[in-house]
Amino acid sequence: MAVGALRPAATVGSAATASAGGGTALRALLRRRTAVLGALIVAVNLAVAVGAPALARQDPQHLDVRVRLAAPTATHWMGTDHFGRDVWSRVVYGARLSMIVGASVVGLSFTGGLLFGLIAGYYRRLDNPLMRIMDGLMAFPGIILAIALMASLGPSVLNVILALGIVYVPRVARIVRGSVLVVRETPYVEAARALGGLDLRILGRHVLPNCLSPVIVQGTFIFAAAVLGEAALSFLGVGVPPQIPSWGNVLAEGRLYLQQAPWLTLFPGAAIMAGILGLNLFGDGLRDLLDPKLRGVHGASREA
Amino acid sequence: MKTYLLRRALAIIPVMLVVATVSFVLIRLAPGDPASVLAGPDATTEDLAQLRTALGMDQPLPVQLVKWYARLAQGDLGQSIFLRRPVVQAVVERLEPTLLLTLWGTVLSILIGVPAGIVSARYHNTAVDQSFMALALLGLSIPNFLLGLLMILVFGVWLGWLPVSGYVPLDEGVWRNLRSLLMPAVSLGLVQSALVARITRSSMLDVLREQYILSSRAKGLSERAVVYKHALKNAIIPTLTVIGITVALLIGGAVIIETVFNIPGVGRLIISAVLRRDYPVVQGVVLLIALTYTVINLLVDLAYLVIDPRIRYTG
Amino acid sequence: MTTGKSWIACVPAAVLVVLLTGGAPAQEAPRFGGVLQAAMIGEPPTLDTHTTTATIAYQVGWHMFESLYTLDKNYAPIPMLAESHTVTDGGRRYTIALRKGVRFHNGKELTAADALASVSRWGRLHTTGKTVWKIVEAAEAKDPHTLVIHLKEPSGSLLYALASPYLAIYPKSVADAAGDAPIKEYVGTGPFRFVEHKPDRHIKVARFKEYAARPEAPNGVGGKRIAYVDEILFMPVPDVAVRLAGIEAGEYHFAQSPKQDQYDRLKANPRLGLDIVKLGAWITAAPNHKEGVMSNKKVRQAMQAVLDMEPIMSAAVGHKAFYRLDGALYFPEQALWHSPTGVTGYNLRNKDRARALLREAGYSGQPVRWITTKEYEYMYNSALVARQQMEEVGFKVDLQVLDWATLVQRRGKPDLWDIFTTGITFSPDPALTSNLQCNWPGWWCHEEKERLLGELVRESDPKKRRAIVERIQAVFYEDVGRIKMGDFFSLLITRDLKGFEPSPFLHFWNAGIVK
Repeated sequence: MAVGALRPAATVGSAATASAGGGTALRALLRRRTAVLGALIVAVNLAVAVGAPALARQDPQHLDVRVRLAAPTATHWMGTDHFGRDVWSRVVYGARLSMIVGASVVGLSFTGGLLFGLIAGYYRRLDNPLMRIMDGLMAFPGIILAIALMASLGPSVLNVILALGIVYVPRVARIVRGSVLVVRETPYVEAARALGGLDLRILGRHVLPNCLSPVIVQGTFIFAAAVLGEAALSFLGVGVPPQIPSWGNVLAEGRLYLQQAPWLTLFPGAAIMAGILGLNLFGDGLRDLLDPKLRGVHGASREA
Repeated sequence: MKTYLLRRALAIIPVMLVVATVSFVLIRLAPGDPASVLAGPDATTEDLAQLRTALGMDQPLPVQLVKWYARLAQGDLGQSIFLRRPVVQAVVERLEPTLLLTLWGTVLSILIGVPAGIVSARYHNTAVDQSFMALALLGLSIPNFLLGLLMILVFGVWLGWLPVSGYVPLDEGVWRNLRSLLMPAVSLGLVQSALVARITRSSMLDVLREQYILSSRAKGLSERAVVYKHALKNAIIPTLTVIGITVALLIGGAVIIETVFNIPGVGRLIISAVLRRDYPVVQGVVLLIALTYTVINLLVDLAYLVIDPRIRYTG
Repeated sequence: MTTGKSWIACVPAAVLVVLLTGGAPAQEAPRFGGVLQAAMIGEPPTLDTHTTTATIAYQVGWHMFESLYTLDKNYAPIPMLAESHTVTDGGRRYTIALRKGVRFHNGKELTAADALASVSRWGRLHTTGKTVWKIVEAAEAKDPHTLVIHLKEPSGSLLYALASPYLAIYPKSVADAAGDAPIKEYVGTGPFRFVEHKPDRHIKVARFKEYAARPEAPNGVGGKRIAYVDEILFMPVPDVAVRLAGIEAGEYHFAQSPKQDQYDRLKANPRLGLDIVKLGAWITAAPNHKEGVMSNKKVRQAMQAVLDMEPIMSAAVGHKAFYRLDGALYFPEQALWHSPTGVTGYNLRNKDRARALLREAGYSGQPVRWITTKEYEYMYNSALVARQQMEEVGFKVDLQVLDWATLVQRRGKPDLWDIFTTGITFSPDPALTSNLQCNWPGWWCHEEKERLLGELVRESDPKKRRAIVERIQAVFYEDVGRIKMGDFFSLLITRDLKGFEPSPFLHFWNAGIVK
């Protein structure tokens, strides 16, 4: 986002009166419903991810070249790919991988973002240099930074998580820093400092809890962005190693057979859409719950 | 305001320095180097050493880094190892498709997203609103490359209505150029229009609730006047935000779409440069893209200042 | 090696054809005109074929440049820019007479000085050239139309080397001006001349009106070459799906390296011309003989014992019509060198034997590091299937799928890998097969094999050479020098072209556009 300036939209939004009677309540209810739907889809994804070994009908890496490129049948619900691997099993394990990558990237970006954001916001002297570095990283288009990182690190699930995590750390750091800057000036915190309280304790007890809600909201979008990011990286061939089932890999391999075997693209495509949709719905609902002021402004900041 | 401008402009320099350093280091961390890719797998060690000296790669890394800074200060982005021409020239040759793609993508996302957002806000909580927002959410959930693939399948192969391959440059005909960009721009723009619609809608809703709008209504102004004259003017600001973000996201999206549709643009240039380890191109193009992002953000912020004098910037 | 014998063999067949068809009229020639749009897999790294071994460089380049010799339809050398030659001094002196009246694109006539400058430059810069030049004592332009090459020892390979499409004959001025750097201007003697190169868009060549064609009928890639089309546009279209979709939509006349899987679907399209070129390449897995777990002969033999080539080739190549299981080192189409003698370890499919060999070798589960890349689908696909087969008998395979730059870098380091996959393109001359050399990655150095290879280079008699090849095959399988998976064919797709000559060597002369 922008370097430095306040986002006027936030100003406008917070100036708006919070309630306009019945209309808002109705809206909140509708939001809840879609949020519930979103939560449900996410839950299904998680269940599939956790239960993958049971749900998959075959080892997703098991090749049987004699049955390659078969259309969907009773044994192969989504058909087979060009190695004769069961597409359904690969999609199921792909869901697992996506959930792992999404959660890990959120974890990594939160950890890094909180760390840098807290330090930058609290210690004036470190603010400028740290934020310049964050700006520098954010000035890279996310995907190019990720591609360069993957080329350096080599293909593996861990490296994909690392690369995507690094891409999102600056975004989290910005939000945290913003919150810290506000909280820092409150009399409560000033008093605590004057009384000689340990910085760490102040950070932990007063500052931290206040930045959590915007960060959590951002988290659902980072999750979705990470899932899409892995898919994009694997699709380009610089993500997860190709034999490991991932939604991106399945789409990449399906693309080579788009005309003869469109099921290789349609099914994983539908799965990934459903997965991201659930995350977005859930994220919307969560945001409404946690911070109505931020409603709609930040949106799903997907980096393609 | 002038001091603000100056400060912002100066702040770009350290950011670019970080970008330049990170790209230098990052691409060199990748195994392999341009010499071994150029010479091929059967080259001898002497061949490689010779090639590396010719490319200036035999010097210690810190020395190379300093040389890179020095050249940068003079505006020299270096020479592509594989294309054998200045990086700037390589970029300029590929600028047209990427610019047009990004432009059409942005235009499309605004043309679809802004009206959709306004209509949704106007008919808030009705079936129209809900269906638009449902579509928007769906749009946000589809990867742009998947949309691209599906469009190729349907419109390119099955129906044969649109060219599946590559890019027809402007100088070969405006209509043919547009046709070749239609599917790529739609893949990019349609997905982004979802984001635009949501943000526009939210901002409109916020503005519509403002007191002075309510009082305009009380004064008896028609709903139309309220919406289109007052609210819209104020909703322009977040829309500008959206444009800034959208363009930035589109540059990233262009990288994938150019690969899917085989468009010889800057996106494909940088991917092939990373994969071939064409160091100067990677460093140069990354810097140019980062600069573009930063400048666009600066321009958007300036636009706020111009449009809404209510907004004041501290320091 | 003369072309006389092959000519005679053809005649009775031709007579038969005429009798059967009742003397049907000869096929009408293609018409002149049009711009041929060729969708290629990429751009050549350079058009100076002296400085690269990239296939696509000569595929584009040799429309503009020609060599002293070229290959006939039996893949034996026949004169191209040369007129004839004599061999004297016990096989050590080749006196080559050049054709007269051949013009370069800049109008100047071809002389022996140009030939000498080009051949010397190729010998100095090109990988194969450097190998060949080791046995060259001296080369001179005796008179404006005679080139003499003195060899240190007799060799059966010189003419094959001179027939290389990479050995383009440039004008002396161009070769000298460039020195070791790539040439700046593209001037040749070929049926097309260079027009322009727009990077990432196209390379354009146009008909050279003063082209001096050979008088004989086309024979392989030799004989008469006619530029029917006005221009050829070589366009880089790296995405195979886009190439295919493009030719089906009528945007291209040629799409390079289509996926063989598409064959059945494409056959149904009446506008497309499909040709299967059988002489192409074979897929190989090269084990590391120098270091690591594969340097143990019994481990290698275990791998050789377990592999079932049919599924491997099926996954690697796709369509059944495009591969062939054959263990010989040369292709059946190379009648001179192909032989089943000595092929003892191909496609054994013996799991028990593999397990036994692993036990004897004392293999205790060390991971076998297999490096491959998705850059070439067949490399990755064959490795994946082979891995599963090997793991069934107890191997542990660590499959590392790398990008090309990383792969190229690692291939040269014996401590980093145990097996890598690649394709070996056919070479017309067995002695010029670089992949059998000791210093080729894999480092297969075997005393008897080196000795046999040395004999092969010096021997000129085709029958004796064949016997040596058979012995090399025996060593190849006994010692498991490399593992051959199978032959794979390429599919050539054209659209609306008449007279297109399918060949392992892609070319567009003698082809015209049909409207």
